[in-house]
Amino acid sequence: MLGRYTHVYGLRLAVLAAALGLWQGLSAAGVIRSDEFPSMSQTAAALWGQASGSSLWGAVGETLEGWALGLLIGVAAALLIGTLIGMNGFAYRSVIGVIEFFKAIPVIAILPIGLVLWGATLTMKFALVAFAVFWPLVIQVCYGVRSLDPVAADTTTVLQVRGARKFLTVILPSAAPFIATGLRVAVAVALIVDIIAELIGGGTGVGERILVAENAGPSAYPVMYAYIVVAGILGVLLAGAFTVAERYALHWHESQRSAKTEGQNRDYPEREGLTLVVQLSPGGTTPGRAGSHARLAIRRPVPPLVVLVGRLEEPVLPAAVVDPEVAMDPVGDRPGSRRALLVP
Amino acid sequence: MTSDSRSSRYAVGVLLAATAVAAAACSSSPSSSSTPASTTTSSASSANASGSASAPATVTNVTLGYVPYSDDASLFYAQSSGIFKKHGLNVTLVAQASPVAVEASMASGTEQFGFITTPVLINLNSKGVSVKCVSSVDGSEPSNPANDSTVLVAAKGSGITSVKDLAGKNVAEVQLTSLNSLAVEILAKKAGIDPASIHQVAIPFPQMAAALAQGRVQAAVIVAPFADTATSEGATVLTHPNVDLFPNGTVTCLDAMGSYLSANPAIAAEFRAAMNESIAYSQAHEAVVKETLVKGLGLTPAVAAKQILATNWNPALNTASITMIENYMKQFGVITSEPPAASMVWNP
Repeated sequence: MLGRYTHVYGLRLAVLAAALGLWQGLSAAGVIRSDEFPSMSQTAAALWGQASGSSLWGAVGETLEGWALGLLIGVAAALLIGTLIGMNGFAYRSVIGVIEFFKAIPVIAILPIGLVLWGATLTMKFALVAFAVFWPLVIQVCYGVRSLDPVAADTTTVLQVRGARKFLTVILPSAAPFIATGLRVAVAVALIVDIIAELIGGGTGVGERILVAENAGPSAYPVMYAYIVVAGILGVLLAGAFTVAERYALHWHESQRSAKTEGQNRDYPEREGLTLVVQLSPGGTTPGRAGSHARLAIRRPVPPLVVLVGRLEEPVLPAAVVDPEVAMDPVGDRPGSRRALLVP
Repeated sequence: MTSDSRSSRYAVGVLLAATAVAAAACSSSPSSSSTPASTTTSSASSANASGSASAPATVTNVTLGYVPYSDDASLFYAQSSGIFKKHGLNVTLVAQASPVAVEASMASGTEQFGFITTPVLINLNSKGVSVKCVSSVDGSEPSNPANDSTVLVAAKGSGITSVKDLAGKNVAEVQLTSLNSLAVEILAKKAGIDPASIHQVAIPFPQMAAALAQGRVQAAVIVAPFADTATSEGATVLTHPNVDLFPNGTVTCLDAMGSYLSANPAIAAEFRAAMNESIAYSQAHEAVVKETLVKGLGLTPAVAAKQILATNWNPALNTASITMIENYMKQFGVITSEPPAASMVWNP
């Protein structure tokens, strides 16, 4: 297990080292002029110089501030609006064209408008990031919501699960893989837009440091490339962090599990986190309501990433599994029919 | 043909910038005048006007957008030495990529002062957006080539020895809408060749040396310190366009919007006084002022000391030179209306 990890990461490090070595070699051989493109060692020295002062960390903080705020606003708006649009077929068909239109607008084209509205400020940065993130993601959310399994949808209706609970326990989990794909793109796009806004618009951060170093002339090029390297490292770290978060949050989903089986270890503790029981019990928790109704019992500290399946005789999710231990029927009817346990 | 495509591209760029700025001037000036910060500043300014002008009691927060380059030394010095503070100004400096970005930010109301080049100043005013020079950045254009940092260079082996030889050649410009591209057209006309026969190519300063060496362009209008790279590779200096054409001229300045200036004359007066004081000090202590470039541009002290500051250290704004540049812009079809140069310089 460990051996495979070492192997993969060792290979990656070797490729990285080879690329850096090639860079240094080309500079040393004079193929690249050092006053036009600094050598790897000059850039690394400049990076070290920046990192040992407060300059680099201040810039990274300012960039991450714009990135995080913009991502937060864009994602929240896309989740809300995407769900509302996705749940209504008429709304979806009406607005999808407009959304596709806005999605195609490059942020750089609206940057002047952002500048005129907010100037070279943090607001300008996160507004542009939110704009850039919103349109592609809202489409993903629409698709995700519309991909809700009809049986799950019907079951939800029958069980009278509505409103926020329906959103959190049925729609969101069902759309989660779509949203995750959209988010993965959004994380990267947000960083790119944020740095472009700093570079061209003039908000403070990594992009602004690149601009100042570029304008300062050849003697400051190592600093410029140091900040470009920082932008790249930030991108890798943020994408990596997202992948880890996604793996944790969506570990129950097929895409993650098959990725696991293809990948390194098969002993992934996937059964740990998630056990949802849909219990149909007569005269349940809500007094005064006739007939059976649903009670959702979450038996583990689980994120709301769960999928409801009502009929286990015909598993609608390919990976649905009945856990015989808990799937016993409390009412004494057919085992497994009322009490559906989902261990995807 | 080249001229047509160039001017049409130009027109689009100008229109975009002008519409953006104009739109903001309409939409955001009421909101900007009602922000608490502006209210404070205007009350502070009236207090200053009624009280003693030399020692302002209150501090006014202003933001200034600048394009980072060596000639900002006097501006950096006014900030670091406390000259702005002495004049009651707490200035926040914001680095931006171009004067157009600076002007757009000024239109948003988040910046009160900013760096501008004279062609952009003229463009905006001819489109009905009132912006005015308040002070020079570090004086006017020098009249001595030794003090100038902008050069027209010809690539090694290009066979170009004078402006006359530029016909049919590719010439690199930082922007096709800039003072530099205008200067090349004027120089061509004066040398007796058709300006349209020169193929002007937009290339950023940092990449010009490589473009010259690779033969992608045969000449370039390039500034120090990038010019040093080009000349070290064998490029030859043909002329100093700005010294030839606009000696002692105002080619850049620090400006503000007309609406801001009429509402805040006392702040503008303090700003101009502070800049003039810093420029006067810079003339006498150039080496000291260049040290601000270490922090301001991230240069090493040795490199900072070697920078050429392209200035005659005269802080007066040269209205005649603005008129001259405006006439050239009209002549080359860049602008259609010619607002008087006096309206582009702030005179309280």
